[in-house]
Amino acid sequence: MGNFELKLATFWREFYANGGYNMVLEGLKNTLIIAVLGLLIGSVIGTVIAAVRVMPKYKVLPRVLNGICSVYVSFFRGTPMVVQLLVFYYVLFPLMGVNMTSVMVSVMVFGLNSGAYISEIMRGGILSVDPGQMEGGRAMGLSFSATMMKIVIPQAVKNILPTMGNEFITLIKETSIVSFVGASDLYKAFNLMGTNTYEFMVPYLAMAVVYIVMVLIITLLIRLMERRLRKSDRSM
Amino acid sequence: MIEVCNLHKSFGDLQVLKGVDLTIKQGEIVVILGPSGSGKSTLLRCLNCMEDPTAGNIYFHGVDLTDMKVDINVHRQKMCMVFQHFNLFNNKTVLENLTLAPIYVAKKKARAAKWAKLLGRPYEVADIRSNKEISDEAEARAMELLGVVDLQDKAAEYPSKLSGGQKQRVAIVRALAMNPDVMLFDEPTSALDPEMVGEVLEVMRDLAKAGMTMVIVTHEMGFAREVASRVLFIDEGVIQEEGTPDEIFNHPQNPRTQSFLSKVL
Ligand SMILES: Nc1ncnc2c1ncn2[C@@H]1O[C@H](COP(=O)(O)OP(=O)(O)O)[C@@H](O)[C@H]1O
Ligand SMILES: [Mg+2]
Repeated sequence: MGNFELKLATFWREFYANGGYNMVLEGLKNTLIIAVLGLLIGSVIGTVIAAVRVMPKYKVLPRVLNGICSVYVSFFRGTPMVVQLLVFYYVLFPLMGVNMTSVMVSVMVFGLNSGAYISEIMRGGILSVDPGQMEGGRAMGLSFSATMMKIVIPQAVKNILPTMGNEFITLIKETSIVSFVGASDLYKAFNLMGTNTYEFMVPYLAMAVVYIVMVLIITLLIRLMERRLRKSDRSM
Repeated sequence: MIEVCNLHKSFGDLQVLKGVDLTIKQGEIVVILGPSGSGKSTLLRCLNCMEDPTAGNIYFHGVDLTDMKVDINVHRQKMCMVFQHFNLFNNKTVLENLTLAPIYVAKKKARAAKWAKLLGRPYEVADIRSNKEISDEAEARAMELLGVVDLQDKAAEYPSKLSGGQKQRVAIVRALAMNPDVMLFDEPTSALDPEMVGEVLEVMRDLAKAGMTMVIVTHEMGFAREVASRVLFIDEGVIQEEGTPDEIFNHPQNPRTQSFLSKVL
């Protein structure tokens, strides 16, 4: 056990005295930025796609849009996120002449990717809302999109909040891949501490702990939010 | 006001309406009777194109609603529907249920008028109003309407807190808030507990007295006899018989009408 204490001391020296915590904080910050912005972008994209996919389809435009959305969703669900990240960072964005930091590219890819997943979650949420709500809106002369935005989606969001929490947790954990394109994340921070000290056991354990603590805190926050929502419509 | 010509509607292989012709004049109260599954709801929903007719035409104020180029939303605002299951907006308060569509319409008009002004096209000066003016006016009108059905104290409640009868009264004034030219009722009392049927029929009776044009699908025969200016009996996808309440209820000619009435009266 003396060995472990030594390793712990080495880690602590690297983490505290040698300023390793700076990189951990930086990694934490990037992880949160990528996950939060990714979730926001993904929610917007996902909601739009879901709305397109439940549109009535006897006109041409909705059919075309629906086709585009299917392709989009199959691409982002059908390839690993690391691959998407690499393709966007090293191929697509350079080809398009877009110059972005690796963190911003990660935000984009996480947003695009979670948009595909959230569209499926949101579609389920929309389908779980009583069709009478859409009818009620349309019969009053509201357009499809106005009824969707004002009536159906707010109710759908309430239904899918727990699932969205899970999506957020998935995104948090997935951020551990962004060092593939050179972004400073938790993996990079702890890995560097390992490289500097030739001692990887404690840094990797510490990394696991940081992730678990983050996920636990988020889970707690989601629980609280759900409880408040449930209170507000106890009688439904 | 409404003219239906040779209306057909099929769902896949199922032919529900097989050629319905119908004219509804201003101020008329048309009651539609018929056995369950005979296509009453389908006919009503074709009137405002909630179902697209398979064939035939619907003219509303002379405009053919089946024409895909027509902006159906504009016409639906003048042809409001009241549903069996109320379909109140669950995420909105009672007041918001009444103001949502009027505010939406007024803001849209205001926006269009502002653009027209900017581009030097003709526009209605009266349409240009601030958002505050629009919502204040909508709320004032909504409170007035809630007063008519005695539900002003429920303005801030959500629909889930209301009884069925209260919900349907809100649904009726929600439609009225659009100042519609005609109101379509699809079995408005069928989902209600018996003790609540009266309060809803009362509201509809008042509407009838005020001269509202109404098309009503109902199984409340007493009510139909009392308010209808015309009664239609639908079966097998066509209008089997139509006439005054006296003609239909007291002297039905068609054997189908006779057998239907003998079952329900
Ligand atoms: N959206 C739909 N899709 C398929 N069949 C339908 C649909 N709506 C109604 N129908 C069928 O059309 C027939 C007439 O229905 P409906 O107009 O609701 O009758 P009613 O209101 O007179 O009871 C029924 O057989 C019903 O099953
Ligand atoms: Mg029906």
